[in-house]
Amino acid sequence: MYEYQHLLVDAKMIAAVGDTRGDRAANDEARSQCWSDAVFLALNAGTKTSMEWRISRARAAVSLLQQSTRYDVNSGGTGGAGASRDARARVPYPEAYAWGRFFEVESLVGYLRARGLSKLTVVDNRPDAMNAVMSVCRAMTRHPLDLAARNGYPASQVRFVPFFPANISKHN
Amino acid sequence: MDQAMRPRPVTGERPSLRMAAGLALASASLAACAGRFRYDVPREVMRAPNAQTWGVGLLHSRPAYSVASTTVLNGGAPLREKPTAVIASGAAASWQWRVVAVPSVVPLWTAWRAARKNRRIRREAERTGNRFHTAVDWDLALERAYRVVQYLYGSELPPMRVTLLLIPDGTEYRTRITETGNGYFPVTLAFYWPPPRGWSRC
Repeated sequence: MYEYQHLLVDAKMIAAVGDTRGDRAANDEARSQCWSDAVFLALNAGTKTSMEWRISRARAAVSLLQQSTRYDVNSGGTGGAGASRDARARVPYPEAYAWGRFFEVESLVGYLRARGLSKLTVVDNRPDAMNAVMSVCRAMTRHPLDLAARNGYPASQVRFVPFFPANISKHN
Repeated sequence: MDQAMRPRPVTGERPSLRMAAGLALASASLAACAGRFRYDVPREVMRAPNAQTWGVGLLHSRPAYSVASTTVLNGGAPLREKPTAVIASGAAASWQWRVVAVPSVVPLWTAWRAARKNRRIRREAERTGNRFHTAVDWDLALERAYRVVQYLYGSELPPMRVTLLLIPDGTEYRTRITETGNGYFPVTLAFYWPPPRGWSRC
């Protein structure tokens, strides 16, 4: 599914976003990796399999970014093409995979926290948390935004649309 | 524009299951001029021992889809067989799929499928409409994956014909296959069977 998403972008069936080739690749990667995680959740639905997005590690990643003189995560998120975007560095193409992972995790962590899920472990028999992850990936797909210019996908723009029913656990 | 100043993120932001998978990477490949491919991961990572990399790139879409599928599995053991045994095939709506294994993998797959627990899960999944159980077989997995992607994408999914090649864990396998599909995406990728511990690629 990871690869399929890439093909949909290549074929312009999902809009590519980003100002540079590296930024576009990182946005593409964020979505593909989100698809991969979403399918992983679904394939293990009803089990005690878990995926974890540790907030402490996400913070450490952000701290690394903030140390850069060329990239200020706090100046992103305006959504415009103003001076703050021009001032920051772009994603080097060979690093787009890693940056895509970071953008995906930023997006998921932001939305999970917005929904009050402070422990960022998603167990495959917890439909509320699973559906939160699915909803972020869905929003990233249907309404792509340039995550390289933001602190992840804005939680306020994610619509919670359940994929798994609330009573998933009783089936197993 | 100076691109070198942007630091790489630490690896800690990855979900723990992916961390356990080690260098289970996948990358988008793009055809540059003169048929040269570039990957969105550093070359050193792709060359690392035991690294696993998969990539696809749409070379052109007219008059038909031409897709390059790349698999790089840096195992230490030589692969002495070719994947020739079709162990499963089917369709999930607009996706057609088949699984082709090297002969030595077939008994391992057969044993997995015959395990009492997996047979029980399969029966239960079929009874409940294959939505809430571990996907223990290819048809269940592809069907459920199709549902997920349709939920994500929001409309009818473009056709795909995917071939999954199964090779023994720990072997070395590097190939790029270019296929053409008239009205569908052709994709061929290779994976280890049984999957390495902590494997989480979907």
